[in-house]
Amino acid sequence: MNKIWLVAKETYRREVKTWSYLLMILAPFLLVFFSFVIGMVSAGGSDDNYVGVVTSNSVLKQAIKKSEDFDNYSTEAKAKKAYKDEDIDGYVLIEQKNNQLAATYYSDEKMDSDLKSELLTSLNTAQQQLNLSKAKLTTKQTQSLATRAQFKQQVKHVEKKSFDNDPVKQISFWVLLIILYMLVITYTQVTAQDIATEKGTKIMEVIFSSMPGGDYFTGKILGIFGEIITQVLIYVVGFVAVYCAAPYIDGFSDLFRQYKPMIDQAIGNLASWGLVFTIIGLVLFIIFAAFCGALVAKSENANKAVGPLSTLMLIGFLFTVNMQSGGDTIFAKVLSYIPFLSSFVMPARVIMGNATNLEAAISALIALAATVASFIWIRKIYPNLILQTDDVGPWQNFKRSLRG
Amino acid sequence: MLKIEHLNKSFGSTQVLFDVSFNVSDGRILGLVGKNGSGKSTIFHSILKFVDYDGQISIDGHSFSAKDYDTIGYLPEERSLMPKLTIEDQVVFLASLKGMPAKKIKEELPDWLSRLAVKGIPMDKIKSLSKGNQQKVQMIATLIHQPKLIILDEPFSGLDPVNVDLMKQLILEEKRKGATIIFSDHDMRNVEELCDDVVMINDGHIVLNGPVNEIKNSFGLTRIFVRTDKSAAELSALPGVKDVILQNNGMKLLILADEKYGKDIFNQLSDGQYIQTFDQEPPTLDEIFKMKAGARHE
Repeated sequence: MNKIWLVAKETYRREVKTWSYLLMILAPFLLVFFSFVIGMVSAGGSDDNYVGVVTSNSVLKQAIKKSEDFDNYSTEAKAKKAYKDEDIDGYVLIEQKNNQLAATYYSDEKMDSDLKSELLTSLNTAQQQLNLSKAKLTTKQTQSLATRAQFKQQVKHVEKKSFDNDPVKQISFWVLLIILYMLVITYTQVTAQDIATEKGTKIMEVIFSSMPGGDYFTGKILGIFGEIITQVLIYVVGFVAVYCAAPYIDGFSDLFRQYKPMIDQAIGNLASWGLVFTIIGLVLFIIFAAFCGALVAKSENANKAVGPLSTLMLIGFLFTVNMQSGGDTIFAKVLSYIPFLSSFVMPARVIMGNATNLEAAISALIALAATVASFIWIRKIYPNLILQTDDVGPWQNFKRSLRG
Repeated sequence: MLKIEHLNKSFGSTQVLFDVSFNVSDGRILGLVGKNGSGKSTIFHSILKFVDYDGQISIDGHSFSAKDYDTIGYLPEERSLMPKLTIEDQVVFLASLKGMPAKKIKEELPDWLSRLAVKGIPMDKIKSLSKGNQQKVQMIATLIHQPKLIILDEPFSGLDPVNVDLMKQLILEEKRKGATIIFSDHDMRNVEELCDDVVMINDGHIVLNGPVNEIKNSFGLTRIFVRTDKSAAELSALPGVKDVILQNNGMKLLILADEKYGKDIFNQLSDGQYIQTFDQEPPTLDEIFKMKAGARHE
């Protein structure tokens, strides 16, 4: 056991000390950082994207005061000057004649549709007030006019569950898919490359003279898994830090509070079956990546060897992406029980509400059994695979390894 | 004592070792010689359990246990180190797998580097070293944990004569410390110089096995090195001479049918006078090897 840990430690230490690993870890943080900086810069540049409003109507003035997109100007001359000085994108002159409000927008370009909609809502509210005061209605009549129609839904049967209108499920789905895809694609490449490089240096004979090849394989997989755990832990710590600090960050706290229930729900979705399938899927892909890496005699062929695995992963990924619109087909149900693909498909089905916990548990058990069986089998033939250093191609190498 | 009994090994339908049996006694050096592909490396791989085999391989009367592998030092035929690691990291990793504490390895490494005249310090990357120095580092990784059994697969290949001598000294030093050593080589002079015993293998069969001197002497003193004015034709006419081979510096090598002709030839060549050189010897291992390897081919 001590030697297995020595190998795991060496594998882990050798990889985490590299610049490529550091960059891989930092990449998402750098992405977030630069997005934030770019956002800040753009936000800074859009400070003058206001529209001036010149009106004498008190209701409108109050509404404009609360708006983040409009500014009140007392006179048209002042608004015109601000527009000329490029402090505002344009101005709206609102006049009131015979109890009717008339707005005219002056600018080089048409008003943005969102701004227009916001302005029209305020204008209609103000116009409604004017209409009511002109009609001189009693309180009862006013209340009566405010009565609205009711709308209820009673759905008896749902044909196809999707989450088009459920942002929590959408977030959970995409986050899970992207995390799994990124981890699998990164670590299958890293593993195959590492194994093929070692094989290429022919150092394995020396190592196998000290310990059984199967134990070395176990140590190697543990070391690679340690790298993944380190990466995931760093992200978790980073996320927890942002999660805890967000309520205290100016300009971000309101947004965070608004979306906090959604984020909490998404975390809940990810921390259940999503996590189980991600772990099992990753281990399975890594075991086979090690197998692929051991099939080639030269490290430069590692990417080629891992090709079938990448294709399998891509099929899982694309199929799951398609499920977002395609729903829960019989094909999706079948694939959600096939190891490799089940890691993508089943958690997505669970998030969409198309699979029960029992179905997920059965699929997880199948994937786990496949992972354990693959590990035992590859562990057994690994020494023979690694010691075949003639460049005879992956298939011949595989056949030779079976002969012992 | 390392004992190999009735070792048979096949890869698929191809048998590569046939009933191979030999012993290596404690504190002795055994040379395993044979042509390329004769099965030398497969014997090493069998001892190290890299491959499955039929037969028995034991050490000190018992089958190899995990603990026994910690007492083996193995230098493979193809030199192999991780180029991106430092000398220290590489040696510490490999020797730690043999159970040697990392602290002790780090303490002893500078001394080993100095003894083997490696041009580099422990923190130098392997890839920054010359090929010869990399081989020396690999030898250090093989020996630093003081193995009881040392297996060296062609330890001198690719080394210049100065470094070959350095390695030979190191091997003899390990022998003096009590290690049992088994090594393979194509150059029979190295085997003659270093080995107590030799096993000659050809196409998976053992063709010779025993102490070097006994094997050589069993072929008789059938080689005469002589420096004389007589021509090759005159020498060929002498009794019992099978062949005459011209050597450097006017030396001639006479191959005899039997060592008993030596005395007559000496008398005829000297004719009661002074003779510059007359040296009657057994055949070299190289000659024996060629004879034996050729015999199986015929």
